[in-house]
This record gives sequence, C-alpha cells and structure tokens, in this order.
Amino acid sequence: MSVLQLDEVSLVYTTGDKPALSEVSLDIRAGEFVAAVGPSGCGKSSTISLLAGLIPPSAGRILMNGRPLPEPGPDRAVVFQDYSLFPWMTAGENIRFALRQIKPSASSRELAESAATLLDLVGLSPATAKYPAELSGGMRQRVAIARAFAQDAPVYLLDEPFGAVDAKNRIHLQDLLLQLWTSRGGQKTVFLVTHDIDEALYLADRIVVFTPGPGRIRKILPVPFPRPRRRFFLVHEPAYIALRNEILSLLQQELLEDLQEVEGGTGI
Amino acid sequence: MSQTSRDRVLLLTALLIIWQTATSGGLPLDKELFPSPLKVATLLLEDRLVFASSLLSSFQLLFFGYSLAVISAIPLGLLVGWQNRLRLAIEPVTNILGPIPPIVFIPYAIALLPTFTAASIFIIFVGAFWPLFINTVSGVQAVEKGLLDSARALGVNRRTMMTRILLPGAMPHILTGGTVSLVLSFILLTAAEMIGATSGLGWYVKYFSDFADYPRVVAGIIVIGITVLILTTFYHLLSRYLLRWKKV
Repeated sequence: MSVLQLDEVSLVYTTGDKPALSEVSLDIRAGEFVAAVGPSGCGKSSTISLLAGLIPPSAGRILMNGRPLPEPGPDRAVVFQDYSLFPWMTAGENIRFALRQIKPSASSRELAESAATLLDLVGLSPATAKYPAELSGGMRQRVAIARAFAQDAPVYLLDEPFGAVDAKNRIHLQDLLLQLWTSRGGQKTVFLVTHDIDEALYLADRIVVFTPGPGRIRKILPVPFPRPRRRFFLVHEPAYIALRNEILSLLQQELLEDLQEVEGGTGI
Repeated sequence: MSQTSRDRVLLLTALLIIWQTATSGGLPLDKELFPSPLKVATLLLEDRLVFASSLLSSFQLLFFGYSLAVISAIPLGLLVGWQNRLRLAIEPVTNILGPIPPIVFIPYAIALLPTFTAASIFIIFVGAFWPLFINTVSGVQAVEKGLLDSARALGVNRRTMMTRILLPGAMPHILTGGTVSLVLSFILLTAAEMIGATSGLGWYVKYFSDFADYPRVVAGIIVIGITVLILTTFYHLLSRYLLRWKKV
C-alpha cells in the first residue's frame, strides 16, 4: 500500500519562470526506502517540501495513506539541506525540543536521557551544551539527523542529510539510518534526496532519477541487491556497476543535451 | 588595567582638570552659571538624600511605563509579524500612529488620567511602545524561513511557535528596538517630571533652575547622565546574555 502518493503533481514558484516540478507521479510504499538523485534545480528538494506539507502543489494531488496530505506534523520527520537547527538552542536543547513535541508529558529527566542517547548515537555527546554557531557544518548536520531520529516518525524525508558530513562519519550515519529504517519491524518509510549515486545504491530499494528544467522524473530504477548489503563487496559486483552506469548516463544525457543547446546544436 | 580603561581614566581626569581650571579663573565665566567641579561634587554629597528619593520616584515611573510597553508590544508584535494578513491590515495604522511624537499626547493624558503618575506612565508607555512593536514585527519577518519550516515540520503548536521560535528568532531586532525605547522613555520621563512632578530627577533640575541655582542644575544633569549610563550598561549586559547563541 502507498504511504505517500504524488499524482500528476506540478509546482510553480511565483518567482520562477520554469515550473519546479511538472506532472510528477510517484508512489512510495509502506516500509520502502526510496532515493532521489538528479542535478540541482531538478525539483528534488521541492518534492521534500511538498511531501512534508510545507507548500501546496500548484496542480495534481498528494495523498498520505490514501487520504489528502495532512498539515506538517510529527508523522513526517524532515531533515533539511541547510540543517535548520534552532540557533538559540544548544545541540541538546534542539533535540529535547523535538522530543518534547511528541512526548508533551515526559519529564525533563527522561527527555535529557533520550537526548543524550541520541547525541551519543551520532557521536556528538561532547557538543551537548554547544550552540549551532559553535559547531562545524558536518556536526550541525549530525545534530539535525539526531533531532529527526528523536521524532521516531513513520515517514522520514531527508534532503541531502549527509552532504556536509566527512567520509568516515557519513558511512557511520548511513548505517545508523538503515538501523533506524529497519527498527520497529521495518515499518518506517524513507524518502532520501542525495547527489551521491553510491549512497543511493547502498541504501535504497528504488532510485528515482530526476531531470531539471522543468523538474521531471526521468526514470525509476529498482535496486535489486539483497540486504543486508555489504558496501565494500557491493561496489565490485557487475550488476552494481551496470546500474551505476545507467544512472550516470541518464544524468549525463541530460547534461549533454543541455550543452548541445548552448553550443547551438553543433555538439561538443 | 587594560589600555582602553587607562585611556578613559586619563581622558576623564583631563576633562575634570580643564573644567576646574576654566571655572576657577582660567576663563572669564559667570561663577553662578558655571560652577566648579568641586562645588558640584559638594552638592552631590549634600543633596544625596534628595537624589536618592528622586531616583526612586523616577524609576517607578520608568519601570511601570517601560514594562507595560514590553509586555504589550512584544506579544502583539510577534502576532502581527507572524500573521501576514493581520500585518498588512494593521500597517497603515502603524504608519500613522508610530511617528507621532508622544509628547503631543500629554494634554490628553493629563485631561483623561486622574494623577500625574498615571499620566506620566501613560506617556512613557506610548513612547516605548512603538519602537518595540515595530522592531518586533520586523524581527519576526527576519526569522529565516527554513527555521519556521523546521518548526512546522516538528508539529509545534501556536504557543510554542510564539515563545520558543518567533520570540528568540526576533530577539536581535527586539533588543535594538528596546534600546531606542529605553532612551526615549528616559527623555519622556524627565520631560514629564519637568512639567508637573513634585519629585524625581527632572523635577530636581527644573525646581532649582526656577531659583537660578545653576550649581544644583549641573549636579542634577550629572546624576541624570550617570543614571542613563548605568541603565544602558545593564541593558547591554542583558542583551549579551539573551544573544549568547550568536556567533561572536
């Protein structure tokens, strides 16, 4: 059954000339891990905002569990590209604040303990009392991820959550994300926007390839590798390499067509 | 002592010496209009009880007028800044009422309110209200949209949105408005006291100028200056604390 359903959805920003999204249809099934890849301006981030319910579509409809998409709320945890931690709250306070929203009756001590566990999970216990301005971009992103984990939501919408994180922590966080996804009997649904094809291939059940100007879905590719996946073996498998190349050529094709336009159709 | 503090002490001493020399025969000045610093210092000591009671009565007016402005202007500003429709509807009113100098309301305050105290508190309130209100509204507008989205995605209710997101988010602007309000309140306070009070710092200066007692006028002015300095210093410390999350 579909958890989230985009039905011929278009989105036009009042400021933009081209629509950000044009007639996009996508079904995300319960418990599915879907990754979206594509160049900038292809509408990946707009799709996140739409699914979160932060902006309404200009045309088409969005359903959640078969019903019109409800207001933004704790049923969909969002990690934004720019982290969006509250700068006036310390790392610990940011997480306790998120926990407080879903557990209004919890005691301060309970919240503090859960927050400490979550920060420890992303390796940032020493930063509990630090304000976001005192943390590096990568650290802020890790706090934002911990804050999203705090919500323990059935649906996770993640907009390049690991973009600013260094390679070592990224691997750790990807595995944490998989742990979160499989927790509670694999009932969680994840929609992940990334520019890292390997990340998408390692994590996702399906990969949605977006193309820009206007944002459209070019192709949806299933990722057939069995789980648990082992990243260091996976990258050497011929099927992996073939799929990776297919995605790359889908993205590059678009790029080449663009370049030809610039060169006046004479090719490069 | 740091370089800056040393410079400041030096400059202050130099100013006092110049003042002393100028008033003790260095320049052909009227002794009654330009008292020497020593004379003023003696008066400050002599009138210390009058100054203490004047300070107390001035602070009462200032406290009630300013606090009233803070507890009304900030919540209203948060609401108006957040609700776009309300903001657009209210904008012309703000544009008309905001720039009116509060002293023009003095006749009405005196006619409508029973006591001098109530009238002064009202005038101080009006003067302090607008800078705080206008800055709170613009402060809310300046909060990054991503943070509001973030809060909405967490599912915060309206009250939490106001107190935990909009209020701290608008705080840098609110504190700027608060400085303007504080200075304006003090000006209005002394003006009101000079018009109709029987105590207070403004009253002290006005009362003794009526007797042409200029040494006491100068002493009063100095006390007012020091009071404003102490107030603004505390205000800056409070601002620093409230904005401790900002990158220094």
